Amino acid sequence: MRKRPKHLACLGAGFTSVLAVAAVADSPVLSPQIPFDVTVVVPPTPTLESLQHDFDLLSWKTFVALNWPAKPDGSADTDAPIGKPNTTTVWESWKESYEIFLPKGQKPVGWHEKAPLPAACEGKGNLPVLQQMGKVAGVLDEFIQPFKTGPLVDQSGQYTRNAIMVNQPMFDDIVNNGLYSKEGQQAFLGKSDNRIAFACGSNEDKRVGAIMVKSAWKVLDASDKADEFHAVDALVYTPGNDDPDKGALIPESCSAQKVGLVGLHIVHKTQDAQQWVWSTFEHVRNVPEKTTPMSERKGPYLFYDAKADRPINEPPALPWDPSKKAVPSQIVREIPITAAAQALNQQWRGALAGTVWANYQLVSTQWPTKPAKDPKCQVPDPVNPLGSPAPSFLANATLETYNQGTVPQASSSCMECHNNATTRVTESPRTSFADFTFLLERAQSTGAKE
Amino acid sequence: MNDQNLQNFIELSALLTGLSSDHLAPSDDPVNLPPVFFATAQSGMGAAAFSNLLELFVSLKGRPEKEIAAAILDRKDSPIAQGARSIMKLWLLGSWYQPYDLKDAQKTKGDIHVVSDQAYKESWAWKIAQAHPMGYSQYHFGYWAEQPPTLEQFTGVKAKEGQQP
Ligand code: HEC
Repeated sequence: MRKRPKHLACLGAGFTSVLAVAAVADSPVLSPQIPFDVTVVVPPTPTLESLQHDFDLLSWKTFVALNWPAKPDGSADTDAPIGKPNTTTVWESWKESYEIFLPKGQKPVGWHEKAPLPAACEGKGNLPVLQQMGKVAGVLDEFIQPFKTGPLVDQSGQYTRNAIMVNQPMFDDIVNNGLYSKEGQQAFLGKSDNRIAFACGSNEDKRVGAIMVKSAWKVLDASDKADEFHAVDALVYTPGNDDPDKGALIPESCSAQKVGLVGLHIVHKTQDAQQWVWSTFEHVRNVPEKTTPMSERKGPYLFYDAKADRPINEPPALPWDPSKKAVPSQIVREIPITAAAQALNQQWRGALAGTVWANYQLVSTQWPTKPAKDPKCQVPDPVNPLGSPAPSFLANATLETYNQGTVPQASSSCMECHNNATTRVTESPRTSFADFTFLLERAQSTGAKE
Repeated sequence: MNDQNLQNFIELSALLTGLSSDHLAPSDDPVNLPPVFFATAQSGMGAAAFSNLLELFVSLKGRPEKEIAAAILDRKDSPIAQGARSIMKLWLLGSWYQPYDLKDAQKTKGDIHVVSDQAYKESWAWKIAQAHPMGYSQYHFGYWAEQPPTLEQFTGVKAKEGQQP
């Protein structure tokens, strides 16, 4: 038989002590503890399938821990059960991107302080803010152009909205290194030894690494059963546009609305997955799969109408104006959820029965099969920086809606696309790889002369 | 195709290309080209010639590499030698070069086809050149200003004296 490469032997060896526990891990345990890293179960040598299972298990455990009710200080409320109604979850108490990358590159307020709301949202209540629609944020336009993109419209004609949150280790790395402003990035990268590299989780050190979460939400209305969703009152913010060259003219607006979670990316950098672990979850009623026979497409789905005759997986016609009702999107999942992931989903949804979280499923987890090996999680592998992701392609129907599929360079691979992320700095000394996050491209300029 | 045949094909390919089996067929490989290349070579050479090539290789296993190479490649006009040359190009370029006519299968000598997008992207010529495929790079912004990794880092094979390291 083929030889095993060394790294897997090490991966396995480091985990012998947990083997006994992991072997019976088939019945899900709901815990508020965020896993520090993947736990490799070796029966007797890991295979692509067994490792995928290990990473999928990591995804579910992380999903449960992040959705645990939070205490006012943001830590998990271990006295409360998961799914307790009307509570803020752990990840929702983290910082949203707008709180970190401020106008004029100002320094964000501390982790435990509340950042000011966007001006248009002031006085409308102390609620979470949802803003972007699809991958269309201004600074990223150019990069995104080769990809088919656009907003996702629900059955009532409303645009879905997103939010991006990061945990404290990631926030600290950004703030302590001054990466929240363009000039700060310039200064950081001016030192030749510095590179952008976030903290990684580690089983050995019992440490959680940098985690970033991107969520997709639909506005709930009379046609929705609100109790089927993780639902919150949020400020739905639409940045204005007064430049006709950039699209429809729309006034800035902000209104309080009840929204329900439909998609969730959870991405964690760990010692054994230095190219990060890419988990993605969806509401079970989002869309049918491409392979679901027509007769079985009963739904009702949130982003597909069995009775409608509309082109599949096409972005809405331009111009995009979130203040007007649009034609609902007609979306199917291009790559079906594997049988193994479905089996795991059944177990975990079973364990979560009676809570809203039972209505969510793991699509899959993308992870590096040849991870970088730097003990400090700083230096990428020079020959294979991407780390040979498995599966090769992964998309969330609500977040990578229009570039699902299996065509290299064109279809959604979380790691491939995020591998292109750079800092905001564009002049000398250097633009730099941003360790798989697009967040740093949001940094604004302080306007200071260099 | 059974596991043993595939394994023989990989070992034969390692001998023909000078790249180790571990490099050609890494474990836990989500792209998994070896079975695709196996099927491509089998249908391109025709099942009988392909199986002759593998059998010849198996009968010679353990002998010095030069001897095996001579037995396979020296009779230049034989389907075995011509097929073996196409297998080298297959790994190096991700394309199948039809080595001779196969009338029944409607294959004409000289036809070339790219096996798949992944085969193109993962083919070895790029790595041997310490570069990346045209139109696809996984290297980070600014890599072009830096010294590329060594041949050994890319391929497991040390550069010879006088070659670019
Ligand atoms: C085609 C490129 C592309 C693909 C594929 C892609 N993303 Fe992203 N992702 C982006 C861009 C651009 C942003 C930032 C802008 C935005 O959120 O609209 C982003 C933002 C994010 C964020 C917020 C942090 C950040 O880097 O800004 C997370 C988390 C995330 N993506 C996870 C994923 C996961 C998980 C997948 C795969 C299931 C995925 N992405 C696939 C381009 C991509």
